[in-house]
Amino acid sequence: MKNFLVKSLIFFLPIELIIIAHLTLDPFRIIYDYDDPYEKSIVALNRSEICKRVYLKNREELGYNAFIFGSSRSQGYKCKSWEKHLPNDATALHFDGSGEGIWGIATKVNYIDELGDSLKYALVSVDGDLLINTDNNKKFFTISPPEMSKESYTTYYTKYIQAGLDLKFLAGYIDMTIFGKYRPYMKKVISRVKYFHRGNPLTADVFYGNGTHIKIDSAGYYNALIEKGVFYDRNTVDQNKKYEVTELEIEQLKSIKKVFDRHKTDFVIIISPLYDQLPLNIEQVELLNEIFGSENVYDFSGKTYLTEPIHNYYEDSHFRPHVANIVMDSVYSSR
Amino acid sequence: MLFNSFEFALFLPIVFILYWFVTNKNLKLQNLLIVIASYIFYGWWDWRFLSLIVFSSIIDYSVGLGLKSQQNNAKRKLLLICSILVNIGFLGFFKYYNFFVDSFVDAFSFFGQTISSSSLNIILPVGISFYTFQTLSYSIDVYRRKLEPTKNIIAFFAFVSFFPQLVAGPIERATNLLPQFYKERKFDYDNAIDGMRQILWGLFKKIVIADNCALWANRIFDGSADYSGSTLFLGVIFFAFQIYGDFSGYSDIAIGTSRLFGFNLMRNFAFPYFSRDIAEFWRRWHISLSTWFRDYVYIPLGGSKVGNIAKVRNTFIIFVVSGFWHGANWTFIVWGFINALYFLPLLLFKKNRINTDQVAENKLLPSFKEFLQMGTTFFITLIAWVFFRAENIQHAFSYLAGIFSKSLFSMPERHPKDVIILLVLFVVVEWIQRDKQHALQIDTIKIPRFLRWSLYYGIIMVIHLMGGTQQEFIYFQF
Repeated sequence: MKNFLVKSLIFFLPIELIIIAHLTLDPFRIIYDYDDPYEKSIVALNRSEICKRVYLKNREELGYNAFIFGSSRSQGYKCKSWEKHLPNDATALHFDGSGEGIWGIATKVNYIDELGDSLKYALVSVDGDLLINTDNNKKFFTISPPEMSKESYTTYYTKYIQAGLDLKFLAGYIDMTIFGKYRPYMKKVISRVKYFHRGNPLTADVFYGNGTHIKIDSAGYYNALIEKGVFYDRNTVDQNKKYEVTELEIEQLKSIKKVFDRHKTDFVIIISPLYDQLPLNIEQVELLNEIFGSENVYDFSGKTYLTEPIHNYYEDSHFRPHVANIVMDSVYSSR
Repeated sequence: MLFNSFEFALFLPIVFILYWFVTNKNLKLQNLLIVIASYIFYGWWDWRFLSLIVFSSIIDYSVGLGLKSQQNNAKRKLLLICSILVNIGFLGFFKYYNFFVDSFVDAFSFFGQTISSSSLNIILPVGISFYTFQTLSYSIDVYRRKLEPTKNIIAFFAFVSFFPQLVAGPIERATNLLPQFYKERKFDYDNAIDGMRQILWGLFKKIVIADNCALWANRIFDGSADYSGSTLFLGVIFFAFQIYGDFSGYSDIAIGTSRLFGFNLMRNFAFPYFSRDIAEFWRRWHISLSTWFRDYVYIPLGGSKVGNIAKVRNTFIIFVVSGFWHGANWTFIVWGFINALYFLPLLLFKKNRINTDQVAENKLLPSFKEFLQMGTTFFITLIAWVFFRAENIQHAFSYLAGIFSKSLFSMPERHPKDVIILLVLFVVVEWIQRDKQHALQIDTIKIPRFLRWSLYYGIIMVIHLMGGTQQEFIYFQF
């Protein structure tokens, strides 16, 4: 038996070392608590997990009652800017998720409800991709935490272990940690960051490192992206692209509305001004109007003064905070 | 809990350490640990269905004791019927209720009558077909006085719920497994090491072979109307290896895990795709189920020691029931029926036991005749697999019509080279190792440790890099 155990320990040594490395380095920032998990992070982090941690850590002390929901495209909205449009009693938390869908928002809304917290104000940032996403997106940086998804903890942590066992990731992570130099093979597993993101430990807002880069060298930043073809020609976009309405989507939107009704939430649904300039198809807009009331739905999609300049975007997916501020000014001035 | 999950990777070493280091001095405690671990393992899916296992265990334990104390044959028979009714009742309700209701309604509508019915939203408890058959074997063997009923309730509960084989077999006989719970288990280093190898090979079969084949088999079967005959043919080959890799992989992991705990389970697969006729195939495929039906259905019906008409009847009964055991769908019944048709000529002409030895024994390659025989047997099993995998009978027939069309001789639209190469290598390894219990059973004396460990790491790397999308084990649904 002793022989068997010793040999097993030796045989599984590589796996044991990987586990020890993960326990020590915590690349996904899921083992230990951090004031700012983005500090020196070179890996895509799970926004839902980060927001949940900030929420649970501060909810009793700060008494959050205003929430920004959406995918990473909601990150242009900042809590402090939003609070200016809300009554004085509002304390906001950014409760988004990477690759978030309507399912993710519904689970978060229900989670807040379950904890017995107030949902007095809500800003829901939506777009076509988000509306048709009606399931738990199970990549390690998008999977919903078990407290919200009600799925098993082991399934959740297994995702991180699987991602951590990826050889390309492991090599890239160790290489980058030791030498600090980005190499081509690290593409898709390690974030190529010149400036790290920063997280707000009280509101869970994230401030992109790209923002710092733009402040320092705006021309250099945008020229590099133009050269790479990131800001593609929007005339080539398929104008007939439609996001089909599904039964699941309707059901999940209604479940969100039900909680809002129960909490008498003062909410706004904002359709994002996206770089592709495609207006959200009418079926989706009508559905939102029908469920949430047209007086609460604001459509900023399509070709507008906001979506025209490329400097309103970090890249082809995320609009910048000054755009979000204009959107919020427009929304709240009309209410 | 799935064998190919992180949960199980944690669960197994914990139970192993508790078993050999904490409870090893007390047999009762060790058996109790097995019961608790097995209930956790099963409850991980849905703890509510644990009540079925507990209830079934109590009934069969009590029936066993009743049969021991009862000498009156009529009363003994009544006790057996009670056990059969409870076990088959559970199975019938959870697995077949909706099938019978729907078939009843269909039959009426065929004759122009419409009746209203209500199907129930019934969840099939994982592994119910396996553990009900296992407990039934106990009651029947005790009734036949082939087995002394046990008074040891913990040993009996451990026998019914033994986690390595609880949800997908091998379906153990009480005569083989139950006595192992009475005896002190001693840790056997060589047995445990080979058990680990068997687990590794099982994981390879499941994660690399079955899951990769599943991806393509599903695509081709789901879109069968759009594909040429050659692609459809490839699709059914993928399915054949999916189901083999999936189920025999599970069995290997189950047997290997049991060996770590000092138990020996019966063999469930013996390289069935190298069979030279369909009778040999059925001696090598899902052996624990085939022999169960042989011992508890076929032989009581008279087996092959009866006239030709009764032989035909018995053969159809055994295969159709076996097909129906797999699922509440007409496709499985037809699958069983086709296998009966394949088997009958061999039985009637007394050719069903001509291939009982190892194919090409002590030779590297088969003879041309053996090669043809194996090819033909594999081909006819493929035809039957179409019914097994199809959504319904019409789908199966249209799939077969698609295969046997001119486009069978065209270049397949779907031919994933990596999966095909993988399958060829897999078949070669299994062929070379066909005289062993499993394909990774290697001579530890002849092969130096460095090479052995390199091989193991190589397989782990292949599992890691080439593992298909995780799929549940197919046989869980049966």
